[in-house]
Amino acid sequence: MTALSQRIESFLREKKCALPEIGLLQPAEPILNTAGEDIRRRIFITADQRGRDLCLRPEFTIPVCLSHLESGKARKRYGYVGKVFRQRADEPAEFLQAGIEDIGTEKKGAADVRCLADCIDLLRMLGRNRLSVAVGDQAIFEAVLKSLGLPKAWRERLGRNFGDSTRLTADLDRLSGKNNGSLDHLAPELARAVEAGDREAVEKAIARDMKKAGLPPQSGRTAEEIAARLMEKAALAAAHLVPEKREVLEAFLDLDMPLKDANRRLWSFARRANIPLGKALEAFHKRAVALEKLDLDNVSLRYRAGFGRTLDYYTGFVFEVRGGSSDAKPLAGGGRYDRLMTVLGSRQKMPATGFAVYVDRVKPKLKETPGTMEARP
Amino acid sequence: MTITIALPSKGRLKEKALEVFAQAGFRIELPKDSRSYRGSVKGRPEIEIAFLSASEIARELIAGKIALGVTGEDLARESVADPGTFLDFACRLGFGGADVVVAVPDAWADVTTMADLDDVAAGFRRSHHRPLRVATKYWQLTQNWFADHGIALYRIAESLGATEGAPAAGTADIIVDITSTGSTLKANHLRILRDGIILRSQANLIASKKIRLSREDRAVLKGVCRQVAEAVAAN
Repeated sequence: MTALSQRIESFLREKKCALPEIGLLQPAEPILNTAGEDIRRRIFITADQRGRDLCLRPEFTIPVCLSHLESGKARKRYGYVGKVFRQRADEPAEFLQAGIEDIGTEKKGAADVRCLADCIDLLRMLGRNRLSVAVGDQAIFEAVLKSLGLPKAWRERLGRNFGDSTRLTADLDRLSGKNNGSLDHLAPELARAVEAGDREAVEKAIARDMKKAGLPPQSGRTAEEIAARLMEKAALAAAHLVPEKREVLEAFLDLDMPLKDANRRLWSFARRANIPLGKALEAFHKRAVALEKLDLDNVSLRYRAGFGRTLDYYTGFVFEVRGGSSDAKPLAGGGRYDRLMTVLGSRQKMPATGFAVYVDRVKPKLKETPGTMEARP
Repeated sequence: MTITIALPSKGRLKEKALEVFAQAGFRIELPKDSRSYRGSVKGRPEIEIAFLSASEIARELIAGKIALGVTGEDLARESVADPGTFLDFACRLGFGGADVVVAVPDAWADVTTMADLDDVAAGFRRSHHRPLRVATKYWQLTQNWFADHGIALYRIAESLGATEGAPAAGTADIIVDITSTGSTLKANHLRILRDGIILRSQANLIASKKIRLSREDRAVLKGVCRQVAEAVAAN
């Protein structure tokens, strides 16, 4: 282990984190199931003699969460430092990452604040003092969608692409157009049942089609599920996103300001657009106040309403830290991923938040601290 | 110096390829020994013919081991992540046509477009505790196409034959496969999505961008491409 890794480990211990043993080789299945097929091209996959897919550890969050689940503990904070392996366009595929995962802490606001504070501390320890942080919050976006009275199917689609402005614009275009789902491909009998709103008949017709095709009834989509979505689609077929609501959404996504102004600006936005954001804003405000109380010497905090992560297990507060606001690549990123533990098989919901530092991008210059060696990267 | 042109070693693709080359003025002499996979072109000693399987032709072109080949566009695009840096699709040959498509069970009455599939894939894990599964042998084409449509939450279940049977067998939910008439899909109660045509494939004359050729050989290669393209256009 290098002196740099040792120094980071003692930092993590000072932060009262457990340091679990996470192997270089990880089962690929949970990672592919969680992040989706697309990640296959970015990780290094191999197989063992029994044909089980393994991969070189592409990140720490999922393995840490899995080991937490196995431990059966309710809550714990974990720290890690080590090599991760990902195929990247213009950076080495093997690089050092360090971070903290805080699993099971119910006081979400406090955990969010601590997460960002620890991240800033770690970057400072590595010699980076001037930092600019962008924060976002999926919960606020979802509150906006809800208070605009958008149908659930639309909210889910937009929520899923939150953080990807290109995709979001394409969604808005599609929803703004008329005829979002044509039903003219349906067999006449089924079409009549849909038109009559006869849920039972729709379900029956679909079940019959499934049987005819020999689809196994135990796996995959059920007739009930298909019927429900078909009816919902039919109900929305003629609907479209009206320009006034689209304007509100676009105005929201454009909000970008110092975090200390965010609360006031969000309130006035909500008032002007005449949408109640009360609850979501309260949590946002409390967290923002706590964040402003941190030692923020040389650190600028900005809120960007459109900033989020497209992975579906991220649910709320997210952040990204750069050395200067013009840096192309972030030095660190983090956020709340309350849905991940259930995706990985937890029966109970388990709130979780964490961050990862790209140690190589930081180009660490360690300060001499008593009792530790000075390290060169 | 010689350049090697690879042609499909059997079936309709082979016959059609020989036909097009004959129309272009290349009389290909088949190997006298039926176990040999080498042929020649009458009066053109600088050209050598290799008979290979269609998927092998794609791989050899990508590796830069042969200069020119005839193979399906689907196989060529499937064999490498960024075909454009390895392959020069010189000309479409007008035969071997088939589409690579996304097809869902016909009973999925609510799914007619990729956008529908996106919605379904996103909600799938919540209701079934596993991601949506796609049976296919076309990994690259599927990954690119799904990524272009913003669909990340799915898994590929590799299928090396009878892909159309995967949904009924319960090994996958939907498929990405090649079809020429659509009748196999229909017989299996599968329906192509309206915007689910990934590639309209046909046999292509393809040059390797990875092979190093002398100036003379390069000229021979260009000449062959031009003559074949003219013959196809005249058809």
